[in-house]
Amino acid sequence: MRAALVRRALQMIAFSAIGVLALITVFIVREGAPVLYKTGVGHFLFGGAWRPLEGEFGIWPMIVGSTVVTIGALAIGVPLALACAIVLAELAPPRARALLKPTIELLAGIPSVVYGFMGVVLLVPWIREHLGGPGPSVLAASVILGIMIMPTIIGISIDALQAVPRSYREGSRALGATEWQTIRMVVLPAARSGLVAAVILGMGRALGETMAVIMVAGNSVRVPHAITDPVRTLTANIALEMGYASGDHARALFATAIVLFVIVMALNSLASLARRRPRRRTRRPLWRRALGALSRGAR
Amino acid sequence: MSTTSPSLGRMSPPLVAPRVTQIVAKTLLWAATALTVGVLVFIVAFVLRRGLPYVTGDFLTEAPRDMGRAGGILPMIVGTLYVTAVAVAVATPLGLGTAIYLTEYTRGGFLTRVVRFGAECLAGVPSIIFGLFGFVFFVITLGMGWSVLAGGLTLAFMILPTVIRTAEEAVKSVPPQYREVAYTLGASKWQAIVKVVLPSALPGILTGIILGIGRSLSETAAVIFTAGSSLKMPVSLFDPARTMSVHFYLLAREGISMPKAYATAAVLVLAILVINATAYGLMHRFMKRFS
Amino acid sequence: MIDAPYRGAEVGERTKIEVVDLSVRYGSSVVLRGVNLRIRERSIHAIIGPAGSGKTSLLRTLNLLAIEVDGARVDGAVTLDGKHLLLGEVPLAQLRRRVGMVFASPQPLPRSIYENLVFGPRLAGVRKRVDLDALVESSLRQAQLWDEVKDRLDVSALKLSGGQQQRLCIARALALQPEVLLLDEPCSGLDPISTLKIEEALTELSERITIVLVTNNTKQAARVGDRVAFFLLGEMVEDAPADRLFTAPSDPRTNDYLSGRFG
Repeated sequence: MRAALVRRALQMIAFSAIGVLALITVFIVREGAPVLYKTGVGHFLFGGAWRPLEGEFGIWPMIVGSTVVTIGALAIGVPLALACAIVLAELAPPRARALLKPTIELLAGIPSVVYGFMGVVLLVPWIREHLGGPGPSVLAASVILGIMIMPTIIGISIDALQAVPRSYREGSRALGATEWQTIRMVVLPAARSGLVAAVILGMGRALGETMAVIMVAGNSVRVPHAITDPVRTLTANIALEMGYASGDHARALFATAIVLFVIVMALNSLASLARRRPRRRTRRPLWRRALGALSRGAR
Repeated sequence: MSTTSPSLGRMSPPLVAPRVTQIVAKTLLWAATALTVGVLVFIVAFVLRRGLPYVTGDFLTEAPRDMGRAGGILPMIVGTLYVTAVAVAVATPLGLGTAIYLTEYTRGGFLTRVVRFGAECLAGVPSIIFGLFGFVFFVITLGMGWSVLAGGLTLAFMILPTVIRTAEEAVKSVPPQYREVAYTLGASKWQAIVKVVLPSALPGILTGIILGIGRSLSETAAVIFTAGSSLKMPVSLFDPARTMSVHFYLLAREGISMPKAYATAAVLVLAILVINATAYGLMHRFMKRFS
Repeated sequence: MIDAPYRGAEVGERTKIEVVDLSVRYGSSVVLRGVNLRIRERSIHAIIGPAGSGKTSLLRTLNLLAIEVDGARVDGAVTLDGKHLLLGEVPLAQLRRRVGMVFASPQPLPRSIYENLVFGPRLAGVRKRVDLDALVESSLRQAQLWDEVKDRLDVSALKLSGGQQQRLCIARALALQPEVLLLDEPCSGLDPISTLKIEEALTELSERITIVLVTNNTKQAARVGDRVAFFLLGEMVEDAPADRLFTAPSDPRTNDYLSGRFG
């Protein structure tokens, strides 16, 4: 009797996460949908003019802004983060690993506003002086976001790399492959799905970051033409105007949030798909495929 | 595969010897690692060096004056603690309950997958969306206004996935035999969970909570729209509050005072380093115990 | 239960546990099939057989762990002092207190020796420090561990050696003053001296409580068992007094097993 009660209660609690997700969806959609409906989804997404006071809501510049900044962040963050993960998971001697891994994990907690602040005091002036433009720009936002997403990508990638069975490496080394050949042709392919998930989650973080981006991106509503042009992202659009918006303007910001929400959910689903599928596929075939690749590489 | 192997060498001599490739690759990888760690460490060192000189006793114990141009950050420290406490108080039972249900009461299955997927999705929701949601739901719809309560509840939702995931890992890593031992000594399922499983999983659970605290502390976008940015000292749960992150953001963005911005950042970074180090240490001890 | 230990004063052939036509299944695999067994009070009933013979499943059925934890399907009847366990005639917590269990590998909980021992009694409602202290001492003495640990009861149980840990687990079960003690290969992986100590403790205990001892060490069964049951592939082949089973087994399969032809 009491056990059944406990079970019930826990079951209800277990649905809290889903419940919160549903609640968020409902409220964001309820607030934002009217404007989407009024403006038309096509016009809202692809309209180039954002004049909230005149009731004109087109977020195309922000969609482009979020996209270029995210791509820039990935271009900077992914190679560095993957290199870091490979070194930490595969190459570093135990003592170096024992020092580096906690360091990176500690740094993962640095508030995003601090990253943004670094951008303001160091990066933006440097860009203004050496590359021209006003300073706050696509480039500045990309660099700051690229640095910010590194700890996320490193952490998940290390897990993915460490999940590759030791026997794969030993098998490859036994065939005469060098350490680097083993990493490139056996370990990385075997961990591919986890690495993809890491990159996608990093992408989600870059896309969702708000305050740091506002500080360094310049925020002008215009499709950027150069990496030194200022840019406004979807998140910045919401945060910048939420303070004073009302009526349809506020609803348009919620509609922006719907767009952002849909993109991020799609990315998350992709990441969890990427992480789930391989488990079935990896085992034998991949091991063989990896060996095949190895022998091809040797020839 | 090495160049000294005659048979393979004859088949097709590689353009560059694998050994050379390896040296180049390793050098690049290490250089990238050094750069990454260097940048991260530099940021922390920079903030601390610029900020710590301004962190005085007065700075920590006084209220700000002149919009933050002078004075200290005591109300922000209190506000941060207050909001974070609410977040942890709400997220911990929810997260722990979910973790217990997932590990002790279901055996995989559809339900588990749904719940886990929900938590994963929630983890990926950008904080600005939490902020918007908290604003319409807590501040407007439930009429809490900008308040410690609204901010804390919003943050609770935001850190819930972190708490769930770490608590689940912790509960899962308790050896199943412990539960059986408890049963054979007359414990009910619930008693086994409370008296044996949870105490053994405690360090792991605490790690999750501490990580959640860290996230609450560093969050800006979700709290600025829910807890507000009042400079006054919050007293009741329904008072508006300005957290340290929000304060720092406003100081820096509006260029109110660079020294004060650096000092606030230094306090914030230091607090988070200490918190994360604690979490990391706990986790380390926990892993050692069961391996 | 704690206050009235060792009920049923008269010694003899009284039945403590009776197993009637017991079958146990996990999903589609049958691990026990049509087992009938009578376990006499205050004796050591040894159960031998090769791996996969269903010995452990039998043991785990006697305190209903099989159903509750493993999710097994159980048919037939098991009675404890005439009460039907499978019909729920004995409340679970009470059953577990009356029928103690020790696992194959020592399973101390990660806390002090003292805390390990008082875990069960506390759940049973014993609160007073003096009572707990008394239970700790008497159960440690019965498990022949008292002299080795009496000065360091607050040390972590994980610091003890394997043999000490296993005796601690026996003491922990005894702290509930059970009527029956189930042991699942308690000496596997222990050195001969620890094994000897445990066997001595069991022999002494059997004067007061009923012991069911699963073992794959036939010599051990011969040394301590009053009766021995031989299991093979989920069936009970033979159940007889120890001396008869070892000297004149009635089933050829028993003979094969004892002479080392399989298992």
